[in-house]
Amino acid sequence: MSDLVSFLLVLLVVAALLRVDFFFYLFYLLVGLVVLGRAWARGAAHAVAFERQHPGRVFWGEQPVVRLVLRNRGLLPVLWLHVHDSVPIQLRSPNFYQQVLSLGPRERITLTYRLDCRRRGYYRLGPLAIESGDPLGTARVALSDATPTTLVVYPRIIPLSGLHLPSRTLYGSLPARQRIFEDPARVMGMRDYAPGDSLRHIAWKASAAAGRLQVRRHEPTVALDTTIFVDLDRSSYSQMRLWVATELAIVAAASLANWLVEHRQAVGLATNGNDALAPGAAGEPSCPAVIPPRKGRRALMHILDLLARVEMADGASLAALLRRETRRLAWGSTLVAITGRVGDDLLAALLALRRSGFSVALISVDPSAQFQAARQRAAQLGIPAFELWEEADLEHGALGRQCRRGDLASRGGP
Amino acid sequence: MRPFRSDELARILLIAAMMAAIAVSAGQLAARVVPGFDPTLLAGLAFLVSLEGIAGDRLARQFPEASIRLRLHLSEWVVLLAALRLVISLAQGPQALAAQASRWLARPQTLVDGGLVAAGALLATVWWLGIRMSRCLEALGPEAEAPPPQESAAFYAWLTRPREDRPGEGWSRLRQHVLTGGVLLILCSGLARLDLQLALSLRHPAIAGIVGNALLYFLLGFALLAQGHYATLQARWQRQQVPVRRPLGRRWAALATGFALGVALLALLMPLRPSLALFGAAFRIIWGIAFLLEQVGLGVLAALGYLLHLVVQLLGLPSTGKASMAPPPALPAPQAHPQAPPAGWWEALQGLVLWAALAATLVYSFNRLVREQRGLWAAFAGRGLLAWLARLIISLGRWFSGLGHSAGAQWQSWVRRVRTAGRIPPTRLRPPWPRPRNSREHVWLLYLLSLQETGRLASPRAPADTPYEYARRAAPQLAEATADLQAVTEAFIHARYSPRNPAPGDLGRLRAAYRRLRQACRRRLAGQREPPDAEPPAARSPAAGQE
Repeated sequence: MSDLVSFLLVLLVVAALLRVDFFFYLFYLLVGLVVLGRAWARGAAHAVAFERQHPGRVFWGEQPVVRLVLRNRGLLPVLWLHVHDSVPIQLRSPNFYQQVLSLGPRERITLTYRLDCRRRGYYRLGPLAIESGDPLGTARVALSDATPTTLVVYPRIIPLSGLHLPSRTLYGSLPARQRIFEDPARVMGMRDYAPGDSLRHIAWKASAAAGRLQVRRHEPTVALDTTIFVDLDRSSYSQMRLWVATELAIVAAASLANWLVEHRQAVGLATNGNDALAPGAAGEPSCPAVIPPRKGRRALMHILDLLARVEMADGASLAALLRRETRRLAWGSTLVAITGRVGDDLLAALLALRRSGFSVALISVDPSAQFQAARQRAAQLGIPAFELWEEADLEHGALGRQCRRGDLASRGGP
Repeated sequence: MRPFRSDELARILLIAAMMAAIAVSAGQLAARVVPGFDPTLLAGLAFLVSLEGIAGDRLARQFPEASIRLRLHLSEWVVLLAALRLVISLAQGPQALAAQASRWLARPQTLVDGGLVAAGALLATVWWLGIRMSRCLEALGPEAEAPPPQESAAFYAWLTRPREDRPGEGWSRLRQHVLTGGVLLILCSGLARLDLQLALSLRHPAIAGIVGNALLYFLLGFALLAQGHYATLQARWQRQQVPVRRPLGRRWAALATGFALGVALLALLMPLRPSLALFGAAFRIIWGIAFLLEQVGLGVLAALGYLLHLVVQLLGLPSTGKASMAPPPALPAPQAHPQAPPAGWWEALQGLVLWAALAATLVYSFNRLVREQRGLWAAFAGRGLLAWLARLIISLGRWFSGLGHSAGAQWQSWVRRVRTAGRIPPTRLRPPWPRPRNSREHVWLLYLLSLQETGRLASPRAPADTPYEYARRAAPQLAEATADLQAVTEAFIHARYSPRNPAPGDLGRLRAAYRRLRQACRRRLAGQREPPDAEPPAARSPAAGQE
């Protein structure tokens, strides 16, 4: 730039000295090319509006399309525009999208790229940076959009089958194995009257048709008013399987919640992990994230939102969370604790809850060598314990198989 | 084989047109000094010389040997100067040409005169400036290296090659060259329009009118700089692998052109006379201050002189002021030029020899120029006058080439008869035309040439040999040149894998090492071919010992 200024000064001096009109014209021309070129580059770049369009929430494995809409609001064309959009590395490799283009007056261009959502999380897309300049390269304009947009990737949901969680809540919609609590609203057939049958169960019309006394057989049912407790305390997991096991815990919790909502049960969530959106000073552990049990898809979406955002935390034990948060739960609710290593304090807390009238189940996603001993001890206390090593265990119905082997039937009933 | 890409050709034509614009101004200035001088002729020559210079420079940079480059440029300039001489004389008319031709025949030294020197200096300037601009544009452009096939082993090496980013270096140099040419042009244009004394007095009237060539130069300069900037950005985007939407290049050209024309129209609205008056007033003030300072200085000098005179009188020294002032010598009266005596047989022989040498040099240079720059002529081989000229030059070149070949064959047969022992024919890699080698490629070429030399002496390099392995293997057969082979190998490794370009000084040292290596190889090879002078007695007669 200094050489250009020097040249313009020389031209001015020569023009003044030689008094040639046309040299002044050349001087004005060159100054105009430089000054107006810079003004053009700045004005045109500042007139560019950009917007990022994408779905706010996606499920695991989806490949959403992100649209960058660039619009030139001004009348000046944009000579060249380098668009650079930053993306989290978990969603795209390389972790940016860039393109060079030119925009005419009032022109609107839509750029698209795909994300590959293979990891749950709460992500910020952006910032979007644009760069432009003039034809002579004397001006370079760099602008940035400092308001990134967010994208929630839900954790993976694995369809479960044959799951039987313990329950003490009567008159629900789930068929139970034990025939103690029968739902009079769910008739499953007729049989002959036997002495001792309640007169209220006699089906008079059927008796008249059959010519002998018939009683209605009712389906035994329970309700699972379930709260899932997810342990994301870093000390509960072995260092080697820290990331894998915590993600498995999240996937197990999401799959359980989905299964329960599909079966029209109320489901809640509590976790000692850090919620990115929870209020709290930076660097301090945030308050435990708790969603009370509710029915329906909306409740599931809330739970999945939280499971997408939540991250590992330090110093918040699951036993303390169980003691604190179960005070608000109704009697007979089912508690599913998903954790890594099972310690004595956790077993003691679960035993206390069981004695208080809750149905309790334990899932370990990072089972250590001592897990079998802990499992036997939990069985003696009447707490079913399951182990999960990987997501494939959920896909293959590991929880259901362990239930069918009698782990639940023997200990889970009221 | 295409000699130039279309955008490259457009840039070279732009540069040549800019050089022609400078030459117009210089020609106008020359026309003031030499009445009857035609500036358009000089402009046309400058255009052609710039084109030829750029092409010749690209060709010369293909060769690693400085001697080849020097020979190429020498032959180029011999032809250029001969053409310039002819054109200058032709511009004065056929009669003048005939008169001058007879004078040249009588005295070949009259070929060189002031006009030729001045025009040659101008052409050398535009030749140099054009080459510099072209080199800057080459440095700005995207990489011309095409990737090898993906299944080849070279693809990985190509993919992992060091890539350098030179932000703005070539760009600022190009701008400096354009501005240097601009200063030259406005000085020539200005001085061609007015007297210097009048300009310094600031009393001359303002000069109106359009300086068309200056306008053309700056508009073309703007187009060139815009193109250069686009090339810089394009190279950067290519290195960063940023996709570019298709219509960008066309839109860039259209918008830059429209912008330049718009600003040119806008500049017409700016006032000229008031600004002239303003600058005139400012310069009058400055001139007044300078005059005042001059008067003060003169007064101080007079006072000092008077004081010195008083001191001299006080010391009683004789004053030498009047004695030393001798009258100036009278200028000798102009004498009429004596008629040249008729040339004798000795002078005629001298002239014949000189003319033969000149003609041989000219034919050789023209032949080389046409043969080596056939790519340039092929670039113009379209339709119209240029195509006709190109065909004419090519056919002339072929004719001269045939002439040269027959003369060369005769000479070689004579030499073959004289020499008894055959020598190794020099191997010269004839690189492809279009792209000059960069410093890395020079090193690679030198390494390949070294391999060729050592391959004749020792076993050739196997595909599985790494450079170091081969250097170790070939070292025992090159006792005196091991260090040179090691140096060439090291330089090749650095040029191949280091992110830095080899320095020009390193290239010079490397060339010297290559020359030593070549000489050593050839000496050893010649020693192997010679029959043994004297065999050991034991070998000659095994039975001698028994006897």
